[in-house]
Amino acid sequence: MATLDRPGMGGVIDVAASTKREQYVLLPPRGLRSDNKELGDFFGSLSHMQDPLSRVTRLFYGVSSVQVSTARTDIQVLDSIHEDGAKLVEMSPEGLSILRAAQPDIRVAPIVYYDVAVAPRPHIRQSASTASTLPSLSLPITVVSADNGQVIPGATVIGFTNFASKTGADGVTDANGNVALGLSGNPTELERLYVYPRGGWWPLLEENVSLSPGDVIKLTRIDLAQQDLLREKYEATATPTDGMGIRIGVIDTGAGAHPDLLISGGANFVAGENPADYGDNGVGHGTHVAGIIGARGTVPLGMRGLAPEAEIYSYRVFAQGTSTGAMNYVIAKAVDRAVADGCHIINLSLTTADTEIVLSQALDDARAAGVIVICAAGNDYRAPVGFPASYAYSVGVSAFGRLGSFPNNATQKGNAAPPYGADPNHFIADFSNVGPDIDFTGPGVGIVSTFPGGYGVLDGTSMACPAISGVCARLMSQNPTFLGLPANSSRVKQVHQSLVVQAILMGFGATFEGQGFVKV
Amino acid sequence: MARFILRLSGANKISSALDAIRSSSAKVVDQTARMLLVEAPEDEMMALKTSHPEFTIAPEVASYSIPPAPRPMLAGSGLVKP
Repeated sequence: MATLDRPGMGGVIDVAASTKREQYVLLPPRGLRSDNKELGDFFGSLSHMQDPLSRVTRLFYGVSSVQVSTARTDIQVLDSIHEDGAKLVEMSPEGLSILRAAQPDIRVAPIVYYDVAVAPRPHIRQSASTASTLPSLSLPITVVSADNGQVIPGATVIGFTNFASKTGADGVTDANGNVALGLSGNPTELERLYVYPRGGWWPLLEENVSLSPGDVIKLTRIDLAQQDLLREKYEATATPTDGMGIRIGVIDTGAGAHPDLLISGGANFVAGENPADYGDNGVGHGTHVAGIIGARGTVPLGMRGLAPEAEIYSYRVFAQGTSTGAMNYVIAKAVDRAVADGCHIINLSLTTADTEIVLSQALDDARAAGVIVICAAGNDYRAPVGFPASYAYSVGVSAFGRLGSFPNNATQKGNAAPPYGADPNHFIADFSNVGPDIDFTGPGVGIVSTFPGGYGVLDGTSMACPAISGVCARLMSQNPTFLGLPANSSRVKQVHQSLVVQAILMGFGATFEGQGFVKV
Repeated sequence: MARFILRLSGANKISSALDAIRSSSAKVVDQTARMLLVEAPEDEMMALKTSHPEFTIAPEVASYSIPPAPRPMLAGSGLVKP
């Protein structure tokens, strides 16, 4: 069993009998050979390490406040294209995570094996009424607020008669909070009942529930006086100047208007829409993300983000009412604009499956201009980390949760899955993508933030990502020397390494948490 | 016609490709300091890539999404969106 121990100024990770070693290609920032002496020496040292090749089970590292000075991991060099460049290596996920923290300039590419394409098989659609021999009926229910009976319109209700086969029925409540589910049986036995309000209340999960026509479902209203996981982790260390002097670009669905948000600038890059309309496009995602970073409200009437004094710029790349189909050109344009506007941090809570060259180059240019880019890993249930989080020069963030940080009947209990942390109440969210591209993990289950019309609870690596952006802004504002550094890739490297210094391993393993949870 | 993105690397000027594009049937849809978005036949873009290697040329794609809300869905259902 691996034991994890990381004192603040360096330490040892013991990976005896640890996780499976994998093969990777290590590359310099561009091309196959290093174009600077430091990296050339690093690659050269890999070829000449005296004791790197046994299945070394202790990974040594030492870190200072602004730079990782040394790193020895359990690398085994299998092949080399150039002495000062590309290497085929084998190493453990823990070793890779430490290597990425120590040498953020290098690119790490997984070994890819190509298969013949297999024709996809059609899925069988199965509604509960067709799966049962009982006569079909419509099950009317009403969704209300638990505290005062207020009806809740616009809530998505999903009832599963068989959760494994995803059989059941769904619908959206009308203006009177009513919805009729097309389900058989009376009473109707549901394995699971999910209710997702649009905002204002916690989403609900009831298991093994028996529903009869006219039943009333009660949701728990969001109480801003109650700490969610984000506030639980970060409120105690907040200072009045968090984020001061730091500018953050949120490239998303637009942000605001909201009483707790001050959006300092931005642009809408969607073709055919008003370029000045960088407010929320109706989806609410960007507003939620922006609130996690920098909401300026006062609890309990409002909420505060991690860096309330930061300047937030909203760059909208999704068309009105959409959260899919954003163009690579538009996103690259937004990254370029954020850099030109002087952003220090860019938050990208968006993904695509494959690496894409146009945004890759925009991220290269952002890094060269001293801008750190923080990206959501994706919510594809343990799939490999999506792009751009997987890109060598972005910071990839997975999502963790904690049992007890949300109401007992909230949907978030369904997101608890192994691995659990050193504190067994902590878990990596079941939906979080994971892999060697994860740099850090952030709170991403049951996160309360600003939402059109009030406040909403969302889950996702989309929420964990701005938590790291916000904590990065905190870190930079608390250490003004960062802003005095030349705006180039060296600054990005130093900021990244300072995040590593502040990170706390939670015991999930590097594949799931990278260097851990960043605490500032 | 398909749409392509031309992105500059290094210290090159966007104007170096504009003249070549204007003399072809390609149409410039949008332009920034580092990029051109053009509508053009693919063969013309291939030729431009040869004559202007300083540009990365890639098709415009609409593939980016907000990570989907982690919600269970009915089999075959497309109802629940983030």
